[in-house]
Amino acid sequence: MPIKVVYIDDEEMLCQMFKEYLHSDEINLAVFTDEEPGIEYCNNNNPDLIFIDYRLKKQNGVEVAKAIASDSIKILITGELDVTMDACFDHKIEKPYRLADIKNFIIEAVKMKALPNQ
Amino acid sequence: MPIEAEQNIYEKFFNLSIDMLCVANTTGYFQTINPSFTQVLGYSEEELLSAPILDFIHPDDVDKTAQEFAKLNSGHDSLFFENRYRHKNNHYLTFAWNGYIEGDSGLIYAVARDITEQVKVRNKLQYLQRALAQETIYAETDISGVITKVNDNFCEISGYSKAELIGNTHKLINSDHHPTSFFSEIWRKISSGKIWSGAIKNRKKNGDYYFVQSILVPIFDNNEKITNYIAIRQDITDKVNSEHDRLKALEILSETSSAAKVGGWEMDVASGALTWTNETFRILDVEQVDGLSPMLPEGLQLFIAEDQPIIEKAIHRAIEFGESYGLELQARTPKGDIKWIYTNGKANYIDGKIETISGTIQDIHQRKITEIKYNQERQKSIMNAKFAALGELSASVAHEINNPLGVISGYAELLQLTNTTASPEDILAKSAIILRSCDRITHIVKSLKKFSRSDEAIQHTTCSLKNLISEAIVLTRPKLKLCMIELQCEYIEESNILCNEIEIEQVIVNLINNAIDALSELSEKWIDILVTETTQDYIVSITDAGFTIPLDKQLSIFEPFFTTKNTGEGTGLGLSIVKGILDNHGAKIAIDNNNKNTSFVIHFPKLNNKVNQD
Repeated sequence: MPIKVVYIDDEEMLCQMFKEYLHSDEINLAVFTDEEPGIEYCNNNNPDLIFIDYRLKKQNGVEVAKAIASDSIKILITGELDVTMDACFDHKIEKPYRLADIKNFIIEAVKMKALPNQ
Repeated sequence: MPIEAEQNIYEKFFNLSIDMLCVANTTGYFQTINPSFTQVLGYSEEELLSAPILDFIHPDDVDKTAQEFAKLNSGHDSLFFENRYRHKNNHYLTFAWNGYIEGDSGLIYAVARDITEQVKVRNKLQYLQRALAQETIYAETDISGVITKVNDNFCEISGYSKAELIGNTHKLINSDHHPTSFFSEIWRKISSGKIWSGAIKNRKKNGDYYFVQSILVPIFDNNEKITNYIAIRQDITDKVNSEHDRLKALEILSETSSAAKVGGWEMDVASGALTWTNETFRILDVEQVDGLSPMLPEGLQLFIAEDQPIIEKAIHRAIEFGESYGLELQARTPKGDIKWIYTNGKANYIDGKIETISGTIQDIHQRKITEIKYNQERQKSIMNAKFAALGELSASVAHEINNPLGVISGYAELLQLTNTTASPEDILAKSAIILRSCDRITHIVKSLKKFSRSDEAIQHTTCSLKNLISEAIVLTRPKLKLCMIELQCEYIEESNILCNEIEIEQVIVNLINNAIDALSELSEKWIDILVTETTQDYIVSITDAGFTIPLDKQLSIFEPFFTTKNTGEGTGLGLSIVKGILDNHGAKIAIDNNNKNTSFVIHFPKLNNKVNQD
């Protein structure tokens, strides 16, 4: 069963790139440039990992994370210099990030997820 | 002595005499004349003998001379009179005649003497005496000071009659104003044969005082002995009184000037001599020496070396072209202190010619020092505020850079990943995205660089308001986005102004930043920027959703350190600097009170207007 990953970022280009790089049989990736459909999708599909950009169109990343009720692993993505990570996030990745690192991060997370199942 | 020898002697005297000797006949012609005649009158002997005597006589004297001749013919044996003869050069000489008629022959033997010079002296003396008697207060005293003669003017001014004055001394009109030594000094001088002149205060018969400028002259006889004195006086009562008033007025003026620290000066153009008021001496710290007035070169030396050519040129232009000036300069006092002064000057004309340059000098040291310090502080504040604004911006700008950086890095990774499989079109598309992201970063970094630059002497250049505003928006967009503020902008395409683009961009960034901060607590979040124009100005209004600023605060918001922000959130310098910059550009900023929202309105003079004004 592929791992479910969501990426929310108002930067269209980053979303495209994310999709192109990470889309595979092992990863079921959904990307959103608007926060509302992203929140709705997450609440309905309970993804394993959610990457949320801090600066979005109408809300910031913290507000979006709080609006998502699932127990997914939430990762804050930010290009700001001084955003303190809210407790609702498990990790923080700073922009500019390497897609390879993101991929590794997902693989690691899958392993972690796989462990309890065994 | 033989007769021949005797005749010879008379002939010699006849030829030698400086008096003119002649024999005239009854028909009115000269019969014989001595050489003196030709010498004095300039004619040749032939000329004098060949014309009737009356032809040489002044027309006014012809009748008189004819009468004198007639007298001789009617029996008088001698004559004594004066008449005027025409010189060959057409001027007239006065002759005094002495002659007698020889009964038998009817010949007239006459002697004439040229008394022209004597007559001139005599006339001059008469005129002088008449003038003195008419125009001055005239008196004569004997050697002991007893009045022997007075004119009507003396009687009129003193109130005494001639009878009362003559026989008295001048003690009669003594005012008791002068000490005894004053008069003994006068006596010492005139009795030693010198002329005394000076002002004397006298008393009239009715007790009133009058002032006279007096000249007392001793008169000598031919043995160099003083025979009497004459006194020539002029009434100066009005002058003394007005001088008194003038001095009083001067004193008051001087005190006023001193209180205001304003000195006066005047320069005589011809001599370069300067006249300074007491306060001028005080301001320039120059010691005042009685009777010594400074000259222009010394005056110029009182300024520091750099300022000397400036004041020299200004004075030169005032003298040459009548141009007025006003300068703030640094003076170096004789003690070596440097002092800021303001001095102005203007040309004064007499009969259309510049005779003097005059003006004031003012001690502005304290004011100037404060002004210089204030400007330095202001410059520092501007820098500080700029860096504060830059600091505020940098955090959000970082985000704006990191996003495209993420795109670049990501697409590079994609290209690496697909290095064997990617189609040329794919590679082109991805590298285009990378390049576009690079442009985005370049653009924002450029704006930042411009914003943080602090070159002091930046020329005003022609800039498009549209460009300035869009660049300011590029800088503030990240912050706008972070705060979820919607910004709308309406430009005019052609909107050129003459400005320091960095400063004006700073103004717009500052106003947008202020608007962003003002909106943080509000639910409605929007900023509108609108550019409109009148015939004279371009008008930029920056309006945000906030309520209008209360009237009582509208004045103070442009003052330094006024802030509504919490401590640590703002320097409070923003709007004061905005106003300072706009003032320097001849632009005006105001709050639009007709708008229910907060609206700052800036009027920039249009480029063409400004050029015309300049």
